[in-house]
Amino acid sequence: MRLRNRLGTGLVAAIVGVALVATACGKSSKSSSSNGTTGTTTAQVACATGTITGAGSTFVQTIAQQWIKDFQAKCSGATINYQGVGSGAGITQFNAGTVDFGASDAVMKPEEEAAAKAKGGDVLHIPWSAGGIAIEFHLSGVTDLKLSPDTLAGIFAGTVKTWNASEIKADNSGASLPSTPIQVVHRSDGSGTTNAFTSYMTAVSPTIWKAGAGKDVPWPTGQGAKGSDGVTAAVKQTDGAIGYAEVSYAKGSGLGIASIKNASGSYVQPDADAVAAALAEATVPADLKIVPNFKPADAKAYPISIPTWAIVFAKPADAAKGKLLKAFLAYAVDQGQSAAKGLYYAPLPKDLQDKVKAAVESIQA
Amino acid sequence: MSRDVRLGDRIFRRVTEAAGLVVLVTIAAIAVFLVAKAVPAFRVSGWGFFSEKQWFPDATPTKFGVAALAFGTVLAAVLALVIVIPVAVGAALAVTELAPKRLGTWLGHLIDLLAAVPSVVFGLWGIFFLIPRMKGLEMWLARYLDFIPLFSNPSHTFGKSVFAAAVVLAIMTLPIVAAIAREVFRQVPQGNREAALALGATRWEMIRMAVLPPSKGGVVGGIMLGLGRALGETIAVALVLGATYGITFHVLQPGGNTIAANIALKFGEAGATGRSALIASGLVLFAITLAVNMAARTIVYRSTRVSREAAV
Amino acid sequence: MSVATLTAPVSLRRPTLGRGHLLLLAAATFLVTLGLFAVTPLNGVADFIVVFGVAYVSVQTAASYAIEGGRVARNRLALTLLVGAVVLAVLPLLAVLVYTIGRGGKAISGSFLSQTMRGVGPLDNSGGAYHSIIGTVEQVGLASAISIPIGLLAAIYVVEYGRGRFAFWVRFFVDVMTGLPSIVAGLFVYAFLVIGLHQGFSGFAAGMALSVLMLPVVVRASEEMLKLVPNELREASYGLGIPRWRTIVSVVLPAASSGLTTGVMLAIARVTGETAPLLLTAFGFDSLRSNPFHGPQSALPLYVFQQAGSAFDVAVNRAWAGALTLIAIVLLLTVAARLLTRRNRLAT
Repeated sequence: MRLRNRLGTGLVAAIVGVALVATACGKSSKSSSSNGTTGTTTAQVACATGTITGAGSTFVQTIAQQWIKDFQAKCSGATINYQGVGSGAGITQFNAGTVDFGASDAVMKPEEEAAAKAKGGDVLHIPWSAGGIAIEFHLSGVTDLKLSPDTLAGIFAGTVKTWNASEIKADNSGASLPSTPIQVVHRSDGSGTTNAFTSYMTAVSPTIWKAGAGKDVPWPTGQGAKGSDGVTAAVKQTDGAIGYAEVSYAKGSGLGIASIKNASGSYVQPDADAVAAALAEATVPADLKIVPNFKPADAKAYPISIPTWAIVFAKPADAAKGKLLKAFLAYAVDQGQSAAKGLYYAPLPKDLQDKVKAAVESIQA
Repeated sequence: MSRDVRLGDRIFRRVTEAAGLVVLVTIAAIAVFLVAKAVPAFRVSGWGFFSEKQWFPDATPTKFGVAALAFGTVLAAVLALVIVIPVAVGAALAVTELAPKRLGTWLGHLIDLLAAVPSVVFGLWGIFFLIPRMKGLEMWLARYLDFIPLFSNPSHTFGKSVFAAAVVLAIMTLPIVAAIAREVFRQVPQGNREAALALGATRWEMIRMAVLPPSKGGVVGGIMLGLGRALGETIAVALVLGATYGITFHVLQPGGNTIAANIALKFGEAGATGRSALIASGLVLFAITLAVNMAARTIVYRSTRVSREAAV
Repeated sequence: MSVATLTAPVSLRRPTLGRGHLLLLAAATFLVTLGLFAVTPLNGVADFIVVFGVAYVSVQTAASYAIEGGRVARNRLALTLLVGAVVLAVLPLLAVLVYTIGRGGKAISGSFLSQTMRGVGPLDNSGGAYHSIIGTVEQVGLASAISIPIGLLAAIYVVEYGRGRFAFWVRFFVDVMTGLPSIVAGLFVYAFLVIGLHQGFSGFAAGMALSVLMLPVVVRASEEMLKLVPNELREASYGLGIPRWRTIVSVVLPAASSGLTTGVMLAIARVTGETAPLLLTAFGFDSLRSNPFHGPQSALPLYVFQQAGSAFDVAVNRAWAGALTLIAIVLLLTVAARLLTRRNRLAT
């Protein structure tokens, strides 16, 4: 295994070296690694040196790790340290000045933004990725499941109690469903994923889902688990369990993923294209504080889709770090988007991507 | 020479006093810090902090209180102690009294190794290994012992329960109590043991007469240290508990939460009031630890006073 | 006066249950339990062991009571229960170790121990924990360097000199500190050092947070161990004219050394595995940071915690390998400490 790793690393180094030489000559080229996916370089990658630190969302952590790997491979001398401590903690650290950029699944609250402004000037929200929240389930004998918004809300509200309830049967005509009781699993820790999922349920089924939206809500039923990995593990261990998590967790665990009915009436899986289609229908104001559209009209769109932001100062205090930050973000929102699909994220739709690139360009560093 | 001696004594005493002072200052600083950070939350919640069960400090309207958390903390810790005290003290006795010397030393080291396992590993092991396997035991308890309200389970689902968390806490506390008990038992003079045996006592009677009585204070000290661990354990419990906010004695039911686990779970995403409220709950935990320790010290003092008076 | 009738000689020895008898009882119980499991709906290895254990203990006690008498029966029961206790104590350790080795064994290798996570993507099956190992060693080293001397000296004060109010308050506050949730220690150092003194995240801050956790354990454990040293030793030393401080250093400490080592080892083992205080102090880092005084640093518990939360198996395997490494490091430290203090022990 050691030898294979060394060979792999050597191969990557050689290919990246060739790629760097090729881009220096102005030609476009491909780079690849032994496993995992990397972006294609469609243009020159601006580099800078130094070390920057970021903190925040766990939702974006996986793709951020890929971006860091690829960017550092292209720009030796650059070190980016990102820790997924949670969106709220990320904003706290950003406001405290202990990190150079934050990452959050929700935009900053007005008081948070005011505090940041007082410290370092205007704040930019840079939407750098998007993803869907999968509804994962474990039911022996059932691989495909269709759920309408009301049924989904009823399950998590505790009004739909068994798998062969009439609401679920109505969504899945012709399927044979066992009478196993439904075991709901939710997050025990505060989470941006919970916030997104409960916001969705509040938007589409306010009469059934009454517990409101937020990072932590008074769940009417079910048990809690820490982290998306905890929810996935709990669902995996219990027959009849259902939970919510980022798509990567559902796919990685082999659990079934429910198809959710969108506003146009079709049942959609949380694939990258479906999430991108939903994002294309979101409201994009000038400051890029996107409001997701939980009732997308596109037949292909997956309704439980959310963007996620990097949060930076428009004029970073440290010039050298600002340069590196700008270069890294420029990479992430451009070449980095090609890594999205392989990691179960959605690449930014073209129109949005142009606006985002312009926002990154506007960073004064 | 005597002046040097007195100087040496004075310096040494001052040095140890300074160390005590450092300890005092550190804890005082922590207390001040906690109180300062907790005050904003108390302003929002008022006295309801002690009676409210739910924990939603960042919602509008805010509603948070430490009642369910404090209850869960104490319940889990008490359960853990009930499990761990007989096992740890019994194991320590077995190691010092029964086992041949080398085997005893090795067994002692083996039990100490439990302290080396990081808390996050206990949490993960708890989720992946212990909880699925405990379902059988929990179902048996709920079926045959449900006349005891502790073991009845009206929800009929089994999983991440306070009982499971208590078992994990017990395993984490075991090495502390066992190691200290072991050292305490070892220090009992061999002469006392031999005297009891010479009088015709059986092994167990010897243990009861010669080993246990002088060891009470030390063993209770070890139990207090273990209790401290059980009350303050953060990550393992956060991973293993089902995190609901209710006050119930049905320990087999999924749910339950402790103060320390709640801090770990909520701190990442908490807003300003949330962070302040979590620290306020930390203060309550301090108070609980304090009360228990004081009770323990009083009990030990009283019991040793009786034996001291009896000796006179 | 009549001639006393000669009665048959009576043995002065009580009847006892020999080893052979016990084995016979065990075998009989085993067969009965087997039969029970065949006939009733009971099944499973764990259930069998439990039922057999309970049955054998009951049978042994009953037989002993009948043949050997009450005192001996109680003795047998108690000793059997003690043996049961030690088995019960060792069982979870074996369960945890076997599980950790099983899940971590496949990912652990020379390259795991020598590589960092720099340049490792989320799906890559490479990378290691070298940076975390260095971080943990430095942070725990700093924490120990701070809390062991201070804790030991404070314990000495409390036991040897402590008669007044000051000692009472030290004892009191140490008791309170033992229940401090580990995350609060991290919060405290974060507020004072990371933010208050504008030092930012660092391994040193993590070391401070860990020492806040270590200190009360060292003090309390050392206090108990020092109290165990018989007063006669101290009095004998004074009788020889040795000054007080010399008595403490040359007589009391060596007498308590094995217990003190145990206490210190417990404290070190405890903090080496703590995750929560590191989140806000060391913060974490994918690359190697050799200087613990400036800049975020990784640590093994952080590494395990973060890798375990990933959606991908390659990361989860690394987490378990990291856990195994952590246990191994603490084990090495414990063994080293015991070897070091073995020479100093007074023969008891």
